[in-house]
Amino acid sequence: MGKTIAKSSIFLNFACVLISAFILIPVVIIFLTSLDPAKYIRFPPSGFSLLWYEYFFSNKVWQNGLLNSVYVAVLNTIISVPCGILAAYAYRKYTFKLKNIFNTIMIIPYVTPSLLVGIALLMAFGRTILRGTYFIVAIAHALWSTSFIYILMQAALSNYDFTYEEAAKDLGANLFQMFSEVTLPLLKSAFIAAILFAFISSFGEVTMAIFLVTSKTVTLPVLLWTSLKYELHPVATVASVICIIFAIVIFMLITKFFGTGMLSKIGM
Amino acid sequence: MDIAVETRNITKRFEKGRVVALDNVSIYVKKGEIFTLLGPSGSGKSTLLRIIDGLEEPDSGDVFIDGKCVTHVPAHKRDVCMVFQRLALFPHKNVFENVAFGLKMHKIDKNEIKKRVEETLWKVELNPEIYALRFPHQLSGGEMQRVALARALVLRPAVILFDEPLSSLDKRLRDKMRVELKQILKRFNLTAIYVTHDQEEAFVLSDRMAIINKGKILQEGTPRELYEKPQSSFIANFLGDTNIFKGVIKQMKGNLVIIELQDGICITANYTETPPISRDVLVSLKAEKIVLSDRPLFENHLEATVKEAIFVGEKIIYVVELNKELTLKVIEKNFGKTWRKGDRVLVNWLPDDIILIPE
Repeated sequence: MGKTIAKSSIFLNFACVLISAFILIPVVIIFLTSLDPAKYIRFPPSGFSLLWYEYFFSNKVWQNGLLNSVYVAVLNTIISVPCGILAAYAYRKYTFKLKNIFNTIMIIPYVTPSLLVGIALLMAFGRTILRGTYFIVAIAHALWSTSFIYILMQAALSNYDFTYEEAAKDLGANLFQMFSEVTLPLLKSAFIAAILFAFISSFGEVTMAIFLVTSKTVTLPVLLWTSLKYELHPVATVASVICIIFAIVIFMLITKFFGTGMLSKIGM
Repeated sequence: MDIAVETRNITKRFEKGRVVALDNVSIYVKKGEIFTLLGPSGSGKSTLLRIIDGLEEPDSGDVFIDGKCVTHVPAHKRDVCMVFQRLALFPHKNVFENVAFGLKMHKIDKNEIKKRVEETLWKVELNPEIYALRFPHQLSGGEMQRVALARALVLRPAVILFDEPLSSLDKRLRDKMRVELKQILKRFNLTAIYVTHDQEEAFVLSDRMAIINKGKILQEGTPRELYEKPQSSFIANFLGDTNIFKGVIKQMKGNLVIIELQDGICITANYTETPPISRDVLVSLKAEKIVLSDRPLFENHLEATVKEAIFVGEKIIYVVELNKELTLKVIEKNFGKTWRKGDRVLVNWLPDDIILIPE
């Protein structure tokens, strides 16, 4: 018995290594290429230098792109996290009219192609004062992000017992006390995960942003996309690495706070 | 008579009025009394409790606590506390913080909180030095019950509500906890409303009780009154092991009625209060009020055959057959002569134990 388990676990380890290697191929290629001092993108790299990293962090355009991405991501988080959380909370806790329709509406942005959302918002606000602002990009992201957080929170709330809140009320807590003493501490991890998801989904988004930014508000992924399309400049690999690092760090934080079990619940 | 809690004509509907959870329910609970609402699941008993607590609002009717109408007062401003079915101890707070929660919400001074929490933990027989810093997941089922009780007790509410808090415990612990619970409630002269579907629990705990079914209070009184004088076949059936028959009144002389159950099989019953109105009656006879013998013991006796004898330990349950269509359930102590399947026996009972159900 023990032997069979040992054998299959060696095979399992081998399979895991193989699959991980396969998944890591693009990341590794981009990372190695970003260290190549050559003036054009190529693989395998011919040398090792931090030349293009220096270029990235001293270049105004790329610096701006990075900052713009952070602005938009923060703004999106501020808008979408409360909306998504409150909508899911209301859906779970209360019975109200047209509840099923409400649920469907909340999920629509998640399943609508982002290309269409980008074009639609451009057509709606392209000639208004909002054109090219961080705000309009953040709004576009918030549509998707709210919808996603709504789904994420549904998963978190399915394990949450609203009796704790009733017990708090019963013992004399008003609404604010109930929230700060019971709801917040019990759902803290889910809230943090929602914030991180909102941030990273907006930070790396290109399809909607590309319609809505101007040269002043251009975000890092949009810059990266145009750079690859028109110049194939090697600094694009550095920008890619930075995007990847952001995503990996935040995803690690999410698993730390939220646990992998909850992620599998929403199909991640 | 000091009334602690009263509900007047409470009606509550769910699902846009299609389901009637409570139908014109009026109850009262005296100060220092343990009042039990006994009913099957879905009878509306928990809804009534939640309305008294303020977690639900009735569609019509009023709730009074200490003589004041609180129908529209929110839960956190009512002088009542609930021990929930799943206890709902805050998992992120230790025992001390759980018990202190209500006092903290009422902005009581810190030293006073510490004093009262420790005092209350002693009351429920938990040593604060051992338990104060433990978290709910580190407690046994019985200890969690005590903490939940302490969390309600510490606020000294006008009434404590219990929503079947013992139902998750195993039988032995449950039996022990309910006796302890009664002792604590009585020692500190507390008023309580206890909701349960378990007859034994209701009988052990209650001073007075009410039976509720389909949102209606069917009967209220002491456990003994309900058991001995059920006013409907539902209650006769619900409490204890009951044999219920349809019968026709043949003859009445003085306090005695002779009732024919089926052709030839007649029994005699006493009635003490109002005489039955119709000729068709329902007759109830508790299984433990019947004695099996081989010679007649009382005036009321019939011949029967033992169909089944089920050994349960402290008692033996018999099913005896009077004729093809008439069987009786009999419960006897495991003492003296016992019977086996196929034995011919006499079934005996006292006329007082036959209850005529007015329906």
